Amino acid sequence: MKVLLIGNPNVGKSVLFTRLTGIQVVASNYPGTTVTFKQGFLKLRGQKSTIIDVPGTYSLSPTTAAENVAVKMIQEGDVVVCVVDATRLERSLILIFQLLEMKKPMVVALNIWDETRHKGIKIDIDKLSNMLGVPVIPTSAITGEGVRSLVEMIPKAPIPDPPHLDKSQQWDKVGRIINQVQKITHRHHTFFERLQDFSIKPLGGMVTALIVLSISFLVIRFLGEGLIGHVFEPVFERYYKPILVTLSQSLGGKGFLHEILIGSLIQGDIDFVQSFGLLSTGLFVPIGMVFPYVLSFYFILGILEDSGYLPRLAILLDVFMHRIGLHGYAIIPTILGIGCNVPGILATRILESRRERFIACTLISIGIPCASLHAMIFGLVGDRGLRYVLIIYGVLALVWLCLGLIMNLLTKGFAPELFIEIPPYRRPVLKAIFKKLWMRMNAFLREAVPIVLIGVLFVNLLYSLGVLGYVANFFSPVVTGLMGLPDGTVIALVVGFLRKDVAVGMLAPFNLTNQQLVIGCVVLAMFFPCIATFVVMLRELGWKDMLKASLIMLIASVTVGTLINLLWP
Amino acid sequence: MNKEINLAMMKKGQRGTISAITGGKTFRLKLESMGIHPGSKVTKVSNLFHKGPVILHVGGTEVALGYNMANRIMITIPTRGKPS
Repeated sequence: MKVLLIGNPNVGKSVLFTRLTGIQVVASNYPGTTVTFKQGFLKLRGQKSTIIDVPGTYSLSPTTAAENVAVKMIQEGDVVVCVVDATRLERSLILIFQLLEMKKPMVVALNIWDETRHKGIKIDIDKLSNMLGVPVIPTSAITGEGVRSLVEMIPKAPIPDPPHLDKSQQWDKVGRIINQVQKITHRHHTFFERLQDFSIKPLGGMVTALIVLSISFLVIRFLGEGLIGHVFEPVFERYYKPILVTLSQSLGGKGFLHEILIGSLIQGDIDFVQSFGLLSTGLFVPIGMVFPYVLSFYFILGILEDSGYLPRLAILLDVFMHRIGLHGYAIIPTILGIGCNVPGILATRILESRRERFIACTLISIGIPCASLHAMIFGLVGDRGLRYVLIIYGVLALVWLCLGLIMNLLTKGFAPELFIEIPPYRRPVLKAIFKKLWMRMNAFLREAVPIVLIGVLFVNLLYSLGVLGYVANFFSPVVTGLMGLPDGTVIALVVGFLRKDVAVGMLAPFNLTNQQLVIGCVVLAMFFPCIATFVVMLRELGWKDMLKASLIMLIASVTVGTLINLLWP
Repeated sequence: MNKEINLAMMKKGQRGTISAITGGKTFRLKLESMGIHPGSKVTKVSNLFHKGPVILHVGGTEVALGYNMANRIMITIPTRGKPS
């Protein structure tokens, strides 16, 4: 049996899905978190059933890519569970009517039920169920309330037999149902509601954005640096290094195996950044330098996501984003891209047109460094002075902006207008935040560490085989001639295709000048995306647009690298 | 007497009823799926400067839409007495 969870965006389908199947999926408080369907299993009356989490849709007359997916899936389902936000019942009724007309066995889950109480909303469940002709079960997926009753009801779901209604009859019925079923008692505005009003007014919005973004940045940096300085570095230095030193000595301090595992000794000592062996740099970069930043970034992102703030930022930035051919909502994939470009690129599915998705993907892959890259830039360049870090970010921001302006002019079409439902602010549930953080960290360690190790191994093998000289020579006119970097850094660019953090790490042993280091970091950030991003982008854009995007990357990174080289004071 | 203006021209906090929407079928369907259709009651919440998005309260939720979209939505405002 195939059970579909269908509903408006942001009604808690993904949380309910996790409750039902035990499969952890990312859920947030803004429309469009789920852009592909996910499936899991649940035993219903001893029978294994498939539960499918369908991307949210407002109607069955699809207007976005995500909604298309939803409509296609309904035809294949056996039972429909229509998930509804109990605090926004009116909004869901049209979708319910449309689903009823599909004549599939159906149950309505009146989710977020717990919030109706303190919002002063009373809903007469029996009456609602009578008027719709299908069972209605109040649930609260976050606390688990009502989920058991829902599970028991799914196999018993009746096939609805609704009278056919035309558009105006449907709206009449919406009005009737709301009038008869729902009672809202007036009460004082809560703190969140006041904030809600404040943060979407022009001035209040700017003040809020400034405060939220600077606090986020400061906390991410404070947590990240704190974890590195007080936890990760000491642990590596104190407990891990002695083991490596013993290993190094037993290998005789040199030789092929030593090069691969430990790397080269820097002034007779193992240097976690520069030695470049599998067990030294290969583990220290992802775990000791990048992981703490990824952790602190996703912790803050989780809070931002669940609070419901991000759509408000999207509204505030809408006018500005139109200049670069996007609308405000594109800021959400962009912010996700700051963590890792892969989910950022996937999230561009919430944008309506191909044109927007192309611009957004290209901008993210070129101008938005991921958390790994941020960590390495702060780690390596930060030592030379904050000034240089600022230059790197200034240049990248400028590139992002200019490329956006140019692409907006050169790509046919125009940006569709913003059109979104604004979710209410919700107090983030700490448990949910940590759960999400845990999932994301797990994914990072499982996916990033092996690729870092492969990157380090690859470089060492190339070094020992002596291939690197040829490659370096071949590209030296561009790399040395135009950008002023030592020709050996070509290898970093090549490795950047595997992982950017390793690539930045490779710049360390070259003793670059400040200017070269800045150029190296900027070019690495802009140049080809890492392989994971590349694959996802190729899948999302198709090879034609990917080719275009790659060309833009190549031209932009060489141009910018050369320009900094020429203009450096 | 009622007067008719478009959504973009409405003042903050003003209430009214949608009287007409101009635009293609897809456009109207898109609006309708979020409860914006002739006959629905709306309250304007705010709009951002430079012809930025317009925010309105409709169907129990807040919705943000582009300025040009708001221009195509006509609202009947009751000039006297309390809005129904």
